[in-house]
Amino acid sequence: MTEFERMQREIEIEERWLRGLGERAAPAGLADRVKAAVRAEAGRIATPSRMRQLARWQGALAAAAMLALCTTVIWRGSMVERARVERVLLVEQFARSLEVVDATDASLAALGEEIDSVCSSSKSELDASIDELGDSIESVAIDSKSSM
Amino acid sequence: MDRQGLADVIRRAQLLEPAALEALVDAYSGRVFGFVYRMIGSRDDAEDLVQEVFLRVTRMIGRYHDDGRFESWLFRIAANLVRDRARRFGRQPGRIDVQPAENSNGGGMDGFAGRNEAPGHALELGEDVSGLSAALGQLPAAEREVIMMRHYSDMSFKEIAEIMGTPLGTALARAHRGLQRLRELMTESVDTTTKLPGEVRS
Repeated sequence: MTEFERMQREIEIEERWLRGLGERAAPAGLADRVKAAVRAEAGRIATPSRMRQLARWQGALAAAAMLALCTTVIWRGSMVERARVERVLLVEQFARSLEVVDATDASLAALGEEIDSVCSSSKSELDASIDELGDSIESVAIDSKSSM
Repeated sequence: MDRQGLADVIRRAQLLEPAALEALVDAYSGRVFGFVYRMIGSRDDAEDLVQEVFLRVTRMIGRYHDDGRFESWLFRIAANLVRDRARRFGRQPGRIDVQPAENSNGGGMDGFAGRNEAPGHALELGEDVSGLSAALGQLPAAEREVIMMRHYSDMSFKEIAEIMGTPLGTALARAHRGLQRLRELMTESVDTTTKLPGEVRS
């Protein structure tokens, strides 16, 4: 048996002897007094503790709000970009519309000229026909008078 | 309280649940009182210190990391408070001079002996002195601390050595020396009290 083991063995024997002397119980009411003090202390520190818990939640809420703000900014940014693209498309469409209008104007002008030319040529032909018709009528009338 | 039950109580106590804190008081106040009382020798002061121990537990349990050594943590607080108190009084914790009980209640060698109110009396810290308390009071504080921690807690010598900041061998040696001296003192005490008046010790 080593010195260490001998010492441990002797300690165990003496500890058993000490336990055999019996134990004095704690004074009556001590636990109740301590409990009351502990309860009061817990109540005293619970309030700041709850505040700390709330602060922890506030932190989480602040983080959530920041996240929401960032999302909104990004979303708004994408909306602005989309609006910008739509504006460019609108201008391009407007420009294309102007070209169409120009082309239509030219076609209309050509058509007008054509109508004018048709009208003017038809009028001169009609006039000639009417003249011819008048001449014919006059010659018919002269012939009738002479045969009578 | 089994290990799992204790872990659950500690977890709830960390949330400052009164019922859990009270469960800890129920489970440990008796043993903490025994330790503190044996260290300082005064019942009233021991009661105050026990209350202070559990108030500190209440304040600090939120920072306690449950590694299954709650008892070690608790008795460390108790031992520190005993030492703080001794420092405040500028002397060793519980250095008690043995005084005969003036008003013994006949509670045997471990019984409380009533109050000794005489100012300037040789009692330094203790008021209730008799038998085992008196014998313990004659031991050096370090030896008494090891013996009482072993007696009132389930701590190993290794844990006690850690709490006291000493090597394991020193803690064992203190316990060994202290217990032997304690038995000698108790035997002497019994011999003295059983001798008839005027009888001379051989």
